[in-house]
Amino acid sequence: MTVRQEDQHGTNIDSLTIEVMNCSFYVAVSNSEQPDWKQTVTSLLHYFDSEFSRFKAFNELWRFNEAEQNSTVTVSPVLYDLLKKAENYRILTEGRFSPYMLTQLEQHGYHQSFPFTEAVSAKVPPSIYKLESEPLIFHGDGRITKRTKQKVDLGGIAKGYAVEAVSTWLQQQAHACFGIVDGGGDMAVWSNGEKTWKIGVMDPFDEDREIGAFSIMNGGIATSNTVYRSWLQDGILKSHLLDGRTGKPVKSPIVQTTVITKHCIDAEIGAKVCFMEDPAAIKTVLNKISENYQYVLVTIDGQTINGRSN
Amino acid sequence: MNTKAKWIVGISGAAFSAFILSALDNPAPKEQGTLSAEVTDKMSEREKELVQLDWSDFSPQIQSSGGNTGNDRTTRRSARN
Repeated sequence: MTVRQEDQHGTNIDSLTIEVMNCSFYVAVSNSEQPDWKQTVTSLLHYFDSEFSRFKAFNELWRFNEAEQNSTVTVSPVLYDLLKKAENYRILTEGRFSPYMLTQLEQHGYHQSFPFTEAVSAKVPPSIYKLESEPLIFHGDGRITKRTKQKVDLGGIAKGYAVEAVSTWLQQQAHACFGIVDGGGDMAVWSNGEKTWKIGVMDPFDEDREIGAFSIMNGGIATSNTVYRSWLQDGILKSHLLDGRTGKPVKSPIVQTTVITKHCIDAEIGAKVCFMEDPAAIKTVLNKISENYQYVLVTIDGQTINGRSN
Repeated sequence: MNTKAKWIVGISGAAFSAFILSALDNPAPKEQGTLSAEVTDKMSEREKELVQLDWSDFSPQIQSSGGNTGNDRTTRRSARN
């Protein structure tokens, strides 16, 4: 769906909404020097969806996962960059974030894309998760040696990457003065000063209500939530967030995290790893990802905790 | 002479090359550089300030109010969003 309209503040914007990557993408710009920007953006998002979704067989991610342990494979520039960034985040977060937990996700019942509320029974107990110290070796020429036997899930990081790619292209190639790319809550915004974006933070217990808001001109925002993205397996409540250090679902008093940083992809990783720390120690883990950030946490009892980098 | 301060905003050019590959069916460029924008000394101080990272502190909503509060977007994370 494409719309040319005035936003709530009377600013003229051109927008595009498409269902892709298992969420609703909303893209809006003030102007574009690329008349076919909607077609280009749509093509890019469908490319990410088709090649890097773990729910689709015979795509590039599937082929990478099918490659044998210790084999060396040549991948596309995008998959190479995505895997390298994912591995770098794993190192930065000291293993909290890990892209190598596809098998564990499936064993805990995450076989299908959302929405679902109940997963098939675990026929066998989840295997012990053990990761090699250097799971992938990057040769710098598009070749990767797969030292790990673990399979890769790019889930949220691929979406954050896509949001950032679209945002960058619209700024650099379409010369949009201001705009927003919102991939199901993972957002990149920019502005030359004509527009200040007002972003509401959703109440995790009532999606028609907001618990607060902030204003932003340039940056990235990501939210992770275990209320909506959770399910029952054998009577046990599980969520999509696994701790990369254990391979097990996170257990946290936090039910929703929103992180604001310079780049959406940093915010996406930050929002995930917040679930793996005591709320009082959130800054310790966010400092590993970005120098400048703000966060809003909501706990199971509805308490809101917010803070920012020093 | 103008001095230019580079303001790196981009991700690697690999993503952009895929963008072009997918949309226009052109071959990927051999060099995968890094996209960047520039802040130049031709910009006013106000403009330079505005292209830096900027956001306001989170403002909690009054408990009794709900619904649409006039924000541009919401961090919605339901099943389809």
